[in-house]
Amino acid sequence: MPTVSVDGVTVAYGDGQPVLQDVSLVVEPGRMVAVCGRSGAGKTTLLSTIAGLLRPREGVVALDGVPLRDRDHAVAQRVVLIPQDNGLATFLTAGENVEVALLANGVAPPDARRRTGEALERLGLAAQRDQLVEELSGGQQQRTAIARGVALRGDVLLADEVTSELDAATRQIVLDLLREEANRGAVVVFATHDSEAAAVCDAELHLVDGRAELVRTQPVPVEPGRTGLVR
Amino acid sequence: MWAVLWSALRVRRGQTVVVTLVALLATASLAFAPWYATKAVQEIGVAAVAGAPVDDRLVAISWRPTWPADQSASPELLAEAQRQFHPAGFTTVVGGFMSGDLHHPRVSDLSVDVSLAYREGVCDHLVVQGKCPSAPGEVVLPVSLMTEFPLKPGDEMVVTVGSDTPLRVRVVGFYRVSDPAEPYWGDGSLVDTSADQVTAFTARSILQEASRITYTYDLVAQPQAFATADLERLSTTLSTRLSRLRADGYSASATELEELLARIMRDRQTVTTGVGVGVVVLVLLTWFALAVVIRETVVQARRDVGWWRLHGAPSFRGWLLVLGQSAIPLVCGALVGTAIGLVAGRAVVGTIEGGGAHDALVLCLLLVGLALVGGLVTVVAAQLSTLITPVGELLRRMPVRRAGWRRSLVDLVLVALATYGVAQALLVGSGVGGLPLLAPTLAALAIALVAAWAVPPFAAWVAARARRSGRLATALVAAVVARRPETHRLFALVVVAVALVATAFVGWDTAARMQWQRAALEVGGHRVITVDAEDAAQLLAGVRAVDPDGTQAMAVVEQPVGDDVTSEVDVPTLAVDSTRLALVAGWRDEYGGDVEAVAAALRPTDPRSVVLRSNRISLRAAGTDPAGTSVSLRIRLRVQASGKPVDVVVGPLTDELRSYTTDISSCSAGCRLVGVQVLGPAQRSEGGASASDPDAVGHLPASPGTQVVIAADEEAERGSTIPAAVLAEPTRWRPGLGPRDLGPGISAGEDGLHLRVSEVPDDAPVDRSDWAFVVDVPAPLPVIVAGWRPDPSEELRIPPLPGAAVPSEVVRRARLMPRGGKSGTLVDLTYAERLVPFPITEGERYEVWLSPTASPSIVAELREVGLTPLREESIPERVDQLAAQGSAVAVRFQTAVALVGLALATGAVLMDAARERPARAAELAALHAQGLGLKVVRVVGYGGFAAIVGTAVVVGLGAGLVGAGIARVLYPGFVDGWNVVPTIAIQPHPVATAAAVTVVALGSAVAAAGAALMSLARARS
Repeated sequence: MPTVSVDGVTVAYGDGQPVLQDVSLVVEPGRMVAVCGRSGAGKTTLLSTIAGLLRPREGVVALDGVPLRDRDHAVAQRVVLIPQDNGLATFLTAGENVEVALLANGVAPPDARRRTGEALERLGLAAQRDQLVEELSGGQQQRTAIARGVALRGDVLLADEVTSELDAATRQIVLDLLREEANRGAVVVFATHDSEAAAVCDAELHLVDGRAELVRTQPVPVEPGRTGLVR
Repeated sequence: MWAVLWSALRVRRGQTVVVTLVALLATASLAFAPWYATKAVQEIGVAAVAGAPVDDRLVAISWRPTWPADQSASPELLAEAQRQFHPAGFTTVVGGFMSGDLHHPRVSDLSVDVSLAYREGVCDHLVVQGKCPSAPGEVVLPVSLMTEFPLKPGDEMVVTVGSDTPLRVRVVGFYRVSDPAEPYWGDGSLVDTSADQVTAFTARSILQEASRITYTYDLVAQPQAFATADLERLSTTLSTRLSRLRADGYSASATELEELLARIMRDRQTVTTGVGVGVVVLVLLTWFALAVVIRETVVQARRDVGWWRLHGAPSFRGWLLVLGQSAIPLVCGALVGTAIGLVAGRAVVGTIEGGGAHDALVLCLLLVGLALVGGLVTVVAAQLSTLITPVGELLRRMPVRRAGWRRSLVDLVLVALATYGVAQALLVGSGVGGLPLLAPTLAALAIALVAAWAVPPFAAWVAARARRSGRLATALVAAVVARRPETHRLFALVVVAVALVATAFVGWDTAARMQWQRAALEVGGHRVITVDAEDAAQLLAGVRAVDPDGTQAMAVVEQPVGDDVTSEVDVPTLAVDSTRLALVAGWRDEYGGDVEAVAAALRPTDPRSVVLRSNRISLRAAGTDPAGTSVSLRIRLRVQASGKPVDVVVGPLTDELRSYTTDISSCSAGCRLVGVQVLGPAQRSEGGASASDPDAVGHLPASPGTQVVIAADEEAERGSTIPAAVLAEPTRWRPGLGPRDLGPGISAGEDGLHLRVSEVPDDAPVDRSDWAFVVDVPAPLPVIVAGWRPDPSEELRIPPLPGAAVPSEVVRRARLMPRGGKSGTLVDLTYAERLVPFPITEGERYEVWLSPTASPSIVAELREVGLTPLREESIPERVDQLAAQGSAVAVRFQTAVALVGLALATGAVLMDAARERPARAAELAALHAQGLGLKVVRVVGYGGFAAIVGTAVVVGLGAGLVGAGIARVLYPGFVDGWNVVPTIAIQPHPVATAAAVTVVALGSAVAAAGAALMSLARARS
C-alpha cells in the first residue's frame, strides 16, 4: 500500500483565488485521516486533488513519491473516491452502480457480482440491489456510493462527507467500514464537518480558508471497552 | 414572470431552438403543400393535353356536300357550326378543301392528284417562297412540286374536279410546312407528305366558288385551359353539342378527345388522392414530431413543476411559465414557418390558374392551424399530466418502471386501426378509399409501436447479459436504451420517419422504372425517327450507309394495327434489321429470349445474294410466244449501296439464243439481282401501274405459254452477267410467294434457265405473276410471335411487309413485342424485303431506331441519303410524359413528405439529446471518476443515442419494406390502365439509398449530440 503525500499544494478553480493554499499532508498506509472544516473550507477540493480530479496550481500529490498525473492515473494507482454527491448513475440500479465500478476497475464479473452483494449487504442494501438510484432515499443512495467505494478495495480511499445523510447507527457502520479499510492497510482520507466522526480517525487535519492546520497526529484515546466513535 | 420565462428559454436554448425549428419546418411544409397540390392537379390537365397526339385533342367538324351537288352547302354552314359549338380552351380553324387533278397546260407530264384547300391563317404556318394567296384563283404549291417539274410563280394551271368546269388557278408561290406536327393542322391530312396527293393552298374565296367543297371546322384543345377546366361539364357539352351538329347533318368526331377528358378526370382523381394521402401523412407526422419534442420540453420542466407542487399547488403564473417554454417557440416557429411556406409555395409553383390560389391559401391556413392546435393540445395535455403525477415522480430523472395503461390503450387502438387499414388495403387493392389509403404509413406506425414496446425489455436483457459477461460498454449502452425516458416515443417517430422514406424511395424507384419500361416498350429504341423512304430496301441500305458499324441505327418497318387481336392479320408486325437487334432499348427476355438468340432465330443464315458489279449487263436469252407476239425480259436489280431499284429490259427476244448487253451505270459498285420477269410486247404506259407489273416498264403481260431461256454470256466481262451456276440451278429461283401468286414454270437445262408463263384456268382464284425471283433467303420466313397462336391446321402465312403474306414458321414465342406490347410479330427486315420484293403502301411506317450514343448529326445524315425525318419519339420524352401523370406526381409528393418527416425526426433526436445532456454528462463524468475508461465513456456517450436511433433505422427500413409491399398493392399505375408488364419487384438499391439518406441525416444528429454530450462530460470531469 502506498503512502500519500500532499506537498505544498495550492489549488484554484480557473484563474480565481486559491481554494487551497500550500497544504501539505503525509498519510501512511493503514492510517485514517479526517479532513475537517466548515462548509467551503476546501475539504472536497483537497480530496478531489488527491483523487487526481483537480490539478494543483502549485505543489505535488504523490503516492510513494510518484506524482499523480490525473484521475486515470489515480484510478490505476487504486485511489478510490466516494464523492459528496455520490456519483451514481441514475440509469443503473444500486447493484449495477457498484458492479459497474468493479468491472471498470478490472474485477472479474463473478467476483464483481459477489463483492457487490457483500458490500450492499454490509450496508443494509441487499433488498435495494435492483432498485434504480432514484427509487432510493438520499441515505440509501449515500450508502450505495459507500458500498461501491468499499467494494473496490482500493489502496487509497477518499470519502467525502459520506455520513452526512446517515442516521447514527448507519454512521457507525460506515465508520467501522472505513476503519476496516484502514486496517486492511489502505490510506483512508475522510472529509467531514462532523467532529465526532473525525474523532475516530487516527489524525485530523483542519482546513480554514484553504490553509491546513494539523490538529492531531494520534488517535483519540478510547475508553476501555469501547471502540469507534466517542460520544 | 416574463423575465423568468425569458431566462428559462435562454437556459434551455438548445431545446427552444429545436422546438422552434421543428415547428418552423412542420408549418413551412404544411403551408407549402397546398400550393404544390393545387399546382399538381392543374398540371395534370395541362400535361395530359400537351403530351397527347393532336388526334386526341381534336374536334373535327365538317360538312361534305352530297352528290351531285348540295344546294344547301355554303360558307354559312361554318358560321352555324361555330355558333353551335365554341367551347372555351380550344383554338379553332375553319377551312375547306376539294380533291381533283392538277394539270399544267405547258408541262405535259404534270398531272397530279391535288387537294385544293383553304385554311384560316395558313400562311402563318408555312414558309412561302413568293406571296401568300389572297385573291381568287391564287395558289401556293409544295416546294417538292417545283423541284420535280419546271414550275415558277405566275404559272397558270388547271384543277379539274370530276366533270365540273375546270378551275383556273395561278401559282403565286411555293411553300414548305413549318411544322407538320403542329396542332394547327388538325388531323394532318393536308400536310401528309406520304400521301399520294399534294395540297395547293388557296384563298378564302374558294369556299364560295366551288360546289364540291368539304367545309371543315377544327377545334384543338389548348393545354393551359385544362388547368382548371370543368371536365365533366365540358364532356357533357361536347357530347350534346356534337350530337346536335350530327343531327343537323354535320360530320363531327371527337372520340379521342372524349377519351382524353375521361383520362384527365381519372388522373386528377389519382393525384388528388395521392397528394391528399401525402398531406394527411404530413399532418400526422407533424403532430407526432411536435408531440415528441414538446413532450421532451415538458419532461424537462417536470422537475420545475415538481418543486412547485412540493411547495404548494402551482400558481397560474407557474403554469404560464411552464407552458410558455413550449408554446412560445412553437408559435414563433409556426409563424415564421408559415410565412416561409407561403412565400416558397408561391415562388416554386409559379402561377396558379383561376381560383386555385385562393383555395390553396385557405387549405394552407387550415393545415397550419391544425398543426398548431395539435401542438398546443400536446403542450396542455402534457402539462395536465403533471397534475396527476405524484410529486416524487416529477422530481425523478428516470421514469417509474411500471406500465402506463393510457399509453398502452392508445397504442392498442392505433395498432388496431393500422391492422384494419392494412387488411382493407390488401383485400380491396388499388380501388380502396379512405383510411386504407394510409395503409403503408399505418403499417409502419404499428410496427413502430410494437417495436417500441419490445425495445426496452430487450435492451434490459442485453444489458444484464453483457454485465454478467463483463462487457461494460454494451451493458451501459443497453441500460441507457432500456431506462431512459421518452425512448418509446422517439423510437416510434424515427421508425415511422425512416419507414416512410424507405417506402417513398421504393415507390419512386418503382414508378420511375415502370415509366422507363413502358417508354422503352412503346418507343422501341432510345430515339425512333419516322422517315419518308421509298421502300424497305432503300431504308435498309440508307441506314447501313449512315451507320456501317451497326452501333447507332437500326432500320425498322412497322405495320401497326388496332388493339383487337383476333388473328395474325390483326397483330402489328415489326420487320427489323436483326443484325442490329441490340439497339432495341431495354431488351427484355419476354421479347423471345436473349437478344443474340432472337437475332439468330430471325436470321439463321446470311442472304446468298447474286451480285453484278459492272456498268453493263450481258446475257444470252431467247423467247417464244405461242401467239407470235414479241417477248422481252425484265431484269430487276437493286443498287447495293442505296437500295434503289434498277430495271433493265432485254428484248425483243428471238427464238434463238443471242447476246444482249445493256448499260447499267449505277451498278458499277454492285447491284443485287432481285429477279426476272417475262414481258409481252412493248406498249406505251398509261401510268399508275404497280412497280411489279409489266406496265411499269411499258410492256404488256406475256401470253400464257410464253417460254424464255436465259443463259450466261460466257464472253462478258466478269461481274456483268448472271452466273451460269445460278441459272443452271432451278432451286435458286422461285416464283412470287403470295397465296394467290401463280408464277411461271421454272426449270433449267444445259442451255440455261427456262421460264414458262403459266396459263390461268378460268375462274381460278389466283393472280398470275411472271416473275422468277432469286432465292437468296430461306423460306418459310422465320417469325417470332407474341400474343397470338397460329392455327396449326393451316399453313402459316405472314405479310412481313405490306403486300403478300408469305409462308412463315414460328421459330420462337415471345410474351412481349417492342412497340407492340402484348401482341405482335417480329421478322427480319432483310428476309422480309427479299421475300416481298414488291411491297405495297398500306400504313407502314419506316423507322430508324437510334441508340443513346448515336451521333447528333445522324438525323442530318439520314436526310442526306434520302430518308427525310417526319417524326421523332424518344424514351426520355415519353418518360417525361408518363412522369406528368397523377400517380407519378403523387409518388414525388409523398417522397417530399417522407423527407420532411425525416427532418422532423432528426429534430426530435436533437431535442431528446439536448434534454438528456446535462444529467447524462454529469453521470458519465462520475462513472469516469469511478474508473470507467474514457473509451467506454465515449462509447456510452455516443452509443446511447446511436443504439436507439440505429435500432429504429433498422426497424424502420423493415417497416418501410412492408409499407412498400402494401403500396405496390395500392399503386394506381398508369392512368390509362396500361398493364403490359407487371409492376416490377422491389429493388434493393432504393432501400439502400433510403438507408444511406436516413443514416446520414440521423447519424449526423447522433454524432452532433454525442459530441456535445462528451464535451460537457469532459467539462464536468
